[in-house]
Amino acid sequence: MRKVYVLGAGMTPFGVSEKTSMEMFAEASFAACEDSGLAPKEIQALFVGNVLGDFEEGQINMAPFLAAEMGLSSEVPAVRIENACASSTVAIRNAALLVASGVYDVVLVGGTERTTVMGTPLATRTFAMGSHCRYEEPTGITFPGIFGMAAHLYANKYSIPLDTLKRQMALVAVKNHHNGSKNPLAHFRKEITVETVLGSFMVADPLQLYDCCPFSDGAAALILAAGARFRPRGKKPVVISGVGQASAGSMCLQKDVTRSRAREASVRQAYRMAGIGPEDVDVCELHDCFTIAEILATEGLGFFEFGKGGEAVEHGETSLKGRIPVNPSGGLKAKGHPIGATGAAQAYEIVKQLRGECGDRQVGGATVGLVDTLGGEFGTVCNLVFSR
Amino acid sequence: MTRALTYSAYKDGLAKGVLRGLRCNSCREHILPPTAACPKCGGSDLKVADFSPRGKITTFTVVRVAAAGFQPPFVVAMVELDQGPWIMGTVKRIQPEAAAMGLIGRRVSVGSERTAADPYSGGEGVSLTFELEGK
Repeated sequence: MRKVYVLGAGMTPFGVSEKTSMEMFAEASFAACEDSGLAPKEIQALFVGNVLGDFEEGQINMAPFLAAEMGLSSEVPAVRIENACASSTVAIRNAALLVASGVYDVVLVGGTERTTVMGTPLATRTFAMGSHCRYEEPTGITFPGIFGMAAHLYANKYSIPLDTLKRQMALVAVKNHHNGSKNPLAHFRKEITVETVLGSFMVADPLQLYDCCPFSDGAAALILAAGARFRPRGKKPVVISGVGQASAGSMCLQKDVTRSRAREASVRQAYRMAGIGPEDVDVCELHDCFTIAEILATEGLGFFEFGKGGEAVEHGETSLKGRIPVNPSGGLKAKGHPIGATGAAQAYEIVKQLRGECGDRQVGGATVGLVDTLGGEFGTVCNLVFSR
Repeated sequence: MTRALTYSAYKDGLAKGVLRGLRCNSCREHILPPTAACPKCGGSDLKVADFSPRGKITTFTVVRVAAAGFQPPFVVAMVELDQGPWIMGTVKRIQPEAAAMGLIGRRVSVGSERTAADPYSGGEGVSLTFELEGK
């Protein structure tokens, strides 16, 4: 397998956009090309994560239009990848493996999504399509509802009083909003307090509005490359050193989702490929679609013991200056969650962190970074290890 | 292979008041929702079995912001059936304000209701319903 370099990274601001999904993807992709120093005509394949283009703008088969939008040669295969919120992480994993194996030397990979045009009722309906359409969706379960059930399971399993857990969850939101306030591309750039979270309206018990990430628009893209012609400049370029992806059935079949078997399997693959363990990770962007989701992820990735993720937040272990800084970008919670673009934006943040380009939110001396993205109700987990 | 239990047959069972699931002939696992192969051992020699419609709540939420087509608030729960599988359904005859941690562990009986079609649902559906037993 060849070493896969990240030659360039680009991202649009996250938030509410007047631009279409395809316009945003082109913007992020040109930024990535510019960052890489490569012309788009060097690109040999395109992979795009996009979940709900059909519902948002009435667009299927978006990928070839994106290739045309970018002026790529008609030789270029262009593929849309859908694994719910993990779509673009999965796209990056597939692209990286194709580059590593020598099929392509240069690939454009990223994601784009314009969720806000759907409005909350349709967005809530389409997000719920990540649950099983026959055996779960007809109950009216929503995505916040899935994670509300996970939070109650967690409190009961580890005998943590719900008020204590809710406060720990609120601290996740406070931390991620703090980090987001330092990220010029974040959807929300304002600090909040525990009281902001606990005073907001209930969405799906016990999750309140500020426990939930927003619906966002945005795009992000990377240029991945290998081969003698495409050595990046600089002494310590960023490489993708490990990837993992694993799967699970419906929430019913998974039963106790406080332990995501897909996550534990996926990150094991990624750590093994990179030859590292959780103790070697300097910075992590993980899937905090809801505050409880961050606590579950920090345990599943091996940073903390099971049942101790909430306490770790209380002790500041995941803050920018903590033992393992988590979501320096602001995470899905504050940076925003344009679902198909989320994984690529997590990768963008890790690349920038490893290059030392993150200004006020820079994690000092980071050389190994981990991306963790969850798709659906714990059905897909995909992990990427970046190092320099 | 012939599929042991289709969604259609599962739904017909519920209409007759029977909770149908699967039993793995290789490892004896009880399976619900139905799958093509056993989630535990991977075996595909499965047979239909009528499950006891009773179990206990393992977790719950109150949906207060609902998807298009649903009227909030309502309580959704996971129930562990006496035979082992976990199922998702709505808890009936409960005030949302009464849905607290004490619900976890409460015993329920399982029923079902038809759910309306929307443009994306592939026709009418069915949802499991839970009624609390005892006090």
